[in-house]
Amino acid sequence: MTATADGQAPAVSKPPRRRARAAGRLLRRPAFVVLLLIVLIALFGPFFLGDPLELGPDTLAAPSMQNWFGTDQFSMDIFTRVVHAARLDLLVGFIAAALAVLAGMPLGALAAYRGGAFDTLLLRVSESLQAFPTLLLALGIVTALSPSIPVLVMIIALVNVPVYLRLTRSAVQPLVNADFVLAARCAGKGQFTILRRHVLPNVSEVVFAQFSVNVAWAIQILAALSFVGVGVKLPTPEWGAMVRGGADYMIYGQWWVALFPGLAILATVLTLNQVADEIRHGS
Amino acid sequence: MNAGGGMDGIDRGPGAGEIPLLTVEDLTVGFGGGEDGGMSIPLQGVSLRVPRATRMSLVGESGSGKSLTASAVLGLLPEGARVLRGSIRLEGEELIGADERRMRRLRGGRIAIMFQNPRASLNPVHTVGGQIAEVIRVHSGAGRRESRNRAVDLLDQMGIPDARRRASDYVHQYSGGMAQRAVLAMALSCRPDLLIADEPTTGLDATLQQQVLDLVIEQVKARGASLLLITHDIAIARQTCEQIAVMYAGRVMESGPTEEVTAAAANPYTAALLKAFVTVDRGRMYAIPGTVPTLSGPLAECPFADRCEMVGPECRERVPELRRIGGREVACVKA
Repeated sequence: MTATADGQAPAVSKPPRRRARAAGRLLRRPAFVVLLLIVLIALFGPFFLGDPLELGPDTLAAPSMQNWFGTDQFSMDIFTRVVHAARLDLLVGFIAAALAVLAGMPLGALAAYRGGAFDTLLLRVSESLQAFPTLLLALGIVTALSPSIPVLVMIIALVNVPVYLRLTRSAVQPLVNADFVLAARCAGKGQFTILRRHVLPNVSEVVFAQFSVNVAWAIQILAALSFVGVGVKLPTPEWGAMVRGGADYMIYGQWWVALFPGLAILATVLTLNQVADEIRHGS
Repeated sequence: MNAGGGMDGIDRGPGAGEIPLLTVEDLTVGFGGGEDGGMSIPLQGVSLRVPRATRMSLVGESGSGKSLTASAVLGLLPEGARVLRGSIRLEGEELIGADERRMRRLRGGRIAIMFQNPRASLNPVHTVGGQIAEVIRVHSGAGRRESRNRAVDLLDQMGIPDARRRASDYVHQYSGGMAQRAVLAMALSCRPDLLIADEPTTGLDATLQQQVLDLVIEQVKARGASLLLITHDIAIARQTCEQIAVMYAGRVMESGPTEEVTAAAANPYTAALLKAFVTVDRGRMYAIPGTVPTLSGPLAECPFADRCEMVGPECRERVPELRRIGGREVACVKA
């Protein structure tokens, strides 16, 4: 995570001992390891499992040795589907959060650095976006447009941009008048050089902690949109859609259809939030 | 010889007739307000000249406008401040109103500055050597390797032991004195003609102050650069600089050769400032009575009139102009 800051140090590579210590630090962060595990499962799990759309002999079969998580109303294997869905959910979450950072971080930094009307304008725009409950806003835009995966990614990113904008802005603000920034100006460096080299690396920790939280948010939003029926549609494997599909069967005692994808969301979101804590308190 | 060029046609002793390295004339800077009032004017017509290869101190209490003058010279006035009047020239080239691109080349290039708190002046996330190399790269267009080597050389010249290794350290690994040496290395990295040192030793331990001060003087001398040393400590000014300018309430009250000025102050404010420092040694502190006036508009009288022991009715009539008296300039009607 901090590699961004390190990578920019010109012509200075850190001694290998320091790098080894960084790796050691990483392993002392349990949530980070769990997240790594989840990502690995999402990446490689599907290769060991069958087609998530393959129909089995029984519909709504309870968990067994054959179907670890049972089967759903279409007779598809839920375990296979939960693992496959991890790909889509993580990918959408990650890309949406990344887009939000890419847009929000520079804008927020610029807003703090420039100040004045530019700052006010950006703040008002992000406030008006944030005035809507995130989910409602996303819901509104998705229903107005056609719900496809790229559209969902863009919308989830959009509703997260104000978060980064404000976060970066408030992190940059105290740095704008820091002595080393003034010193950099006095050394004749340009505005963008100063922002890129001297201001942003100093806020990367906060922003990356938020990034982890935001991937979690993005996953929740995607799942929620699918749950209310405007996101991903069944039978595409996606956790939120699967919970939706299974919810109807809860009352008949077929709890496994909704429970396992729900647990997947819970585990992923909790892990991502915990990682954020580790970034904040670590190093 | 009368150069006849300056605004008052004053002979400036050594180097007379030459254009000084830095000329500040009638510099007036205001904050906020407009015609509707509510404006404060912290610089009320500052005039000073720093000749080439000369060390000049800018002495005054806090709030007298020393640092603001430096900011104005660098074209980096704080938000809300603007130059209302006056001129700042670097070897005859007007800097007020110069475009940002030009100013950026001057900053760190021909005019460098070092601040009071060296550890805050260095970015915590980059190596010290890397930051110095960056400045060299920005101004000289030298390659990475070359600027890196020059940075190490500079650190070495500033007396940092094992400079090559220390260049890869971060500022938190430096002591205060070391950090100030590194800041000096950065300031001198592009061979500036003028080094502005804004209270360079105030943030350091007393034992380090002298060392760092000596280093600054030595390096500035060796490079034939000029130094504008901003300090509240007239003792430091006396010991390091051949020229002195005493500021009070946004104006220069007296300037001239340090020896001459400190031996017999012509302006009562300078005298009071000297007394305040000299008497500390005798166990009793002399304080100038009263406080610095708030500069919420143009002055109408001598700014020191309310606190001056020698005040008379003529002091209230107008703001005293800087007048040439012997080798110095004094702003006092009684001088």
